[in-house]
Amino acid sequence: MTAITLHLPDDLAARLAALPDDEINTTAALALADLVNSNAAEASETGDDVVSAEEAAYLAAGIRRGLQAAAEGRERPLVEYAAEFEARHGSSRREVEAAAG
Amino acid sequence: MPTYQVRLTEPAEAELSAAYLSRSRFTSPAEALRWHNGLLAAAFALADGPRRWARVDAADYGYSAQIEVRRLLYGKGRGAWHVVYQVIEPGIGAETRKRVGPGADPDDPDDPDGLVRVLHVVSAVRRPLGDAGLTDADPSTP
Repeated sequence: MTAITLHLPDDLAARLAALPDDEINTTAALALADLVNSNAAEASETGDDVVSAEEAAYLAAGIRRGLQAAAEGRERPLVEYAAEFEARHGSSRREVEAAAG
Repeated sequence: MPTYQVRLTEPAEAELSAAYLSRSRFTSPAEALRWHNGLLAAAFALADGPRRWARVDAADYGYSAQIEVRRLLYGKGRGAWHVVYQVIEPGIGAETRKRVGPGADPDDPDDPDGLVRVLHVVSAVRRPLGDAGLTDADPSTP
C-alpha cells in the first residue's frame, strides 16, 4: 500500500473550523480530516513519517518519560494492570482475549 | 521462539487510563471498554513478536540508538493510537538489566524472557482538524 504524504498549511485547521456550517462544507472537512488521519496512521505502518517538529518533540518527551520511569522502577507487569482494571471496571481477561480475535 | 514479558510504565499507565476515561465520557462506557480491551490485547500480543512493528528512529527523537523503541498502531483513521514500547532481548545479562531498569528478574542472568516495556500511549491523530465536532482525538494529547 502506498502512503501519501499530505502537507497542510498551519492555518488550515482554523480555516476549516471557520467554514459555514452547511452540509457540503462539513462533509468536505470531515473527508479531509479522515484523509489526513488515515495517512498519518498508514505512514506510521509503512515507516514513513509525516510528523512535524512539534509532534516529534511530543513523542520524544513521552519516550523519555517512559524510560525515566523504568529506570526508577515505576513500572509493573501488564497482566497486573489488567487484573486491577478488571477489578475496578468489570472487564474480564476473557473479554480482552476475545477483543484480540 | 522467545517470549517477552510485557510491562507498563507509570506514565503509559496514566495515559491509558486517561484515554479510557475520556472515551467513556465522549462515547459510551461499553465502547470505551471495547477500545481499552482491544488495545490491551494488542499490547499483550507483543509478548510473542514485538518486532512486527516499525522501529522509531532514535535520531529523530533524541534518545540513545542502543535503545530499541518501536510503536504499535492500534485502530484506524481518526481512532488510531500508538503504543510506543522498548524491546529488551532475551538472555540479556543481569548487569545490563539493572542498568536499563528492573526487568523480569535482574538477579537471574539465565532468565529466558526478554522484556517489552510500554513507554508511551498516544493518539496517532497528531494534528486534529477543527474542534471536537471534527475529531475524537483524546484531550490528553497537546
